[in-house]
Amino acid sequence: MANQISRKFQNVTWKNIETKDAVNCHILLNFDDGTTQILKAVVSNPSEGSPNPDWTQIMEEIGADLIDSNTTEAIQARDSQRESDRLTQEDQAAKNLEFQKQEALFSMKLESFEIEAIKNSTDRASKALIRKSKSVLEVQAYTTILLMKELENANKQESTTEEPK
Amino acid sequence: MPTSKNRQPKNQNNGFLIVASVSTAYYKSAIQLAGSILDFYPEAKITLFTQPELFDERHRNMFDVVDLSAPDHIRAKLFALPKTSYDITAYIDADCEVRSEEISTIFDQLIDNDIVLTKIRHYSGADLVISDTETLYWHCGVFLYNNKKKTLQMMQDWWKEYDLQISSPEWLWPQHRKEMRGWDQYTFYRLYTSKKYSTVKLDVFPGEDARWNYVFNYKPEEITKDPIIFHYSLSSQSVYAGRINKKSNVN
Repeated sequence: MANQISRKFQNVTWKNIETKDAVNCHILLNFDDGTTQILKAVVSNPSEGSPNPDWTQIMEEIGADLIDSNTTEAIQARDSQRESDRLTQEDQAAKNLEFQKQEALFSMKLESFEIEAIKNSTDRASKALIRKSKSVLEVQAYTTILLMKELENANKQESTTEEPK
Repeated sequence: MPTSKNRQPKNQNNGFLIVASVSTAYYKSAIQLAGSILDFYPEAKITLFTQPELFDERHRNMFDVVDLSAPDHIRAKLFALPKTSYDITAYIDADCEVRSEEISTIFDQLIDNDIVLTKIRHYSGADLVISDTETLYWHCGVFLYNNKKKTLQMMQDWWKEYDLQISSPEWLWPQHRKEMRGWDQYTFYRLYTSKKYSTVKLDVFPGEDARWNYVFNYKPEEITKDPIIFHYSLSSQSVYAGRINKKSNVN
């Protein structure tokens, strides 16, 4: 069984920066077989009369000033990570929204060109307007316009081929 | 056997290649794409590679060639590329749409190169990191290629090498990340960086390359004029729902 040869406190920050009555830290334990163990711990000093030796060691080796600055840095890093996570989430949400929007636009164009009158129309200029549409509303509007044109053309053709009475 | 439709004679035998396999979602998109090419470029010659289960005879008149030998494979495009009958081929992914008359100038963009492509935008979403020092560079959704022996050989190898890449039990390229296994763009990367194809001349579309393959989530500042080809990307749900073979892998 390996014997512990040293212990060291690392990443020491106040558990509560207001009360400063406990610290979060990592305890690095080195053993005589060359292995190392890292423990996550909370160290406090419950009584002035019988001080916690870990607490005493931390205060002597690291000191309150360094723990203050460690804590400030840790808070800043945490806030920055939260902000970064928030931005990533927002970015992902925006991407998903854009994908859904484009998917809806594409489906709408497919549906438009599945309408026989649109599919068979020789009015390339109007069809191009549908192709170039960047929103669902545009697709609907140009589809309606082209349908009306096709209906008008059909009516005209009908009236010119009608027998005179 | 491919069947041909006679169109007006052309000075050059250049044309578009569209591939639709695996799902009705890709087939419908391919028809939409072909329609959009013809709306803006009525003289265009288009070859469609698809599967008999997907093909609808009513669409035959849109195409110069219809080839029904495409495999039931999500990367059937790689199978089709070397089989082109054109001098210069413009390959376009089926989930794209042409939005400009400038499409008629696409074959001029090859200039003196063998292959012309667009660049990948790193923010656009794909996994691009090949290794600590290498990333994918070329987007293979829209590109031009000529019919020189070497170019067509490269296209042939693209299919063979991709098959090896996805089917070999061991990962054969330890210098690169295993996550690249499913990427045909990674296969393309291996080929164009290989000694065998070092003489194949590749370049980016001249000018604003993003106009030739404007993926739906590209930043608007990539271009100062409207896209010529807009790339939608179909959702995996719609591709999955339209599978003709319910065992097909759609990823």
